[in-house]
Amino acid sequence: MNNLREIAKSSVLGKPVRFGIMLYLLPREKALFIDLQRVLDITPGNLDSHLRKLQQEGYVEIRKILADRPRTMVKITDIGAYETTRYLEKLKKAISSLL
Amino acid sequence: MVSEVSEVTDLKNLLDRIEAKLIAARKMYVAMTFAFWLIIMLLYYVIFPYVKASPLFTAIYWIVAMAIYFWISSIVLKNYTRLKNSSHPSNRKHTGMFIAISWIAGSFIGWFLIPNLKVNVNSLSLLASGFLSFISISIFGEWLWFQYCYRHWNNIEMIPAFAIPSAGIPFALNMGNDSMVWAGFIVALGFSITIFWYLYSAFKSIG
Repeated sequence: MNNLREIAKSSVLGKPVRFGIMLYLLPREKALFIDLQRVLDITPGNLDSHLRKLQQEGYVEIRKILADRPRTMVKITDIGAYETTRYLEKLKKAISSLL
Repeated sequence: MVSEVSEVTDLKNLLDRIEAKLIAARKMYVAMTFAFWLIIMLLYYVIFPYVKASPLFTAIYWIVAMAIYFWISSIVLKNYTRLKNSSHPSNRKHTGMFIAISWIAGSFIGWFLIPNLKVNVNSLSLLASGFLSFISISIFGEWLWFQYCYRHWNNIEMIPAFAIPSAGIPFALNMGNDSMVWAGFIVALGFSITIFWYLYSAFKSIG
């Protein structure tokens, strides 16, 4: 029950797109904005607003890099990784308690 | 109601699959450090006859190799802790230090204490025993740290990497001039089993 309450309260990872971003970054550590957009199948503006929120919370770092052309790189932070794995665990426990 | 239960079950299965992939990634990361150690050790054995066992070359080679090994291990450890929900990042400061201490203790006992023992044993056999002790103590220390950090029985795949070399110590003492080559094979065997076990566990976890 506590897990369910905490999940309901989580305003950061509670949004599926943000959780999806973090799960994509978790094993890779970093990804290009364009790759995230392609994988999640959302508009650049939508992805940008979710990334800003994650950045504000300290879950990701965003910086410009020079690849084939200037690109935006998103990198998961240690805090972000920790919170994501914790959230994943809580979600699993909550779902198991429902079944 | 039935469709809601089925949706929740689907979500649970999805989360299980995500978790399994994270476990597999962790295991592959650790397997990489053992594979890298095998590469630097076997490369030394390949180069060895051409440098006529020069102590200067050996010293430089191993200092550079160990520096690269620790650099790669630190990247792997960072990736490993990122994928494992162990402790808050602020509580992980001592991980690198503890692992370094186990390697320093292993180096002191294996490369200084044992080769300088005043016993009636062939000097190459003592050197080989020291090498096996160095590997056993260092990896055992690393393994102990994993047990302490994650509070439950884990990384059993690492056991052959220190158990097999330590089991070889008494045999190396009676091996004579071939003991150093034999010790290399024992370490390679232990590490290969560990790599195999990690890869097997990784693939098993993702089904």
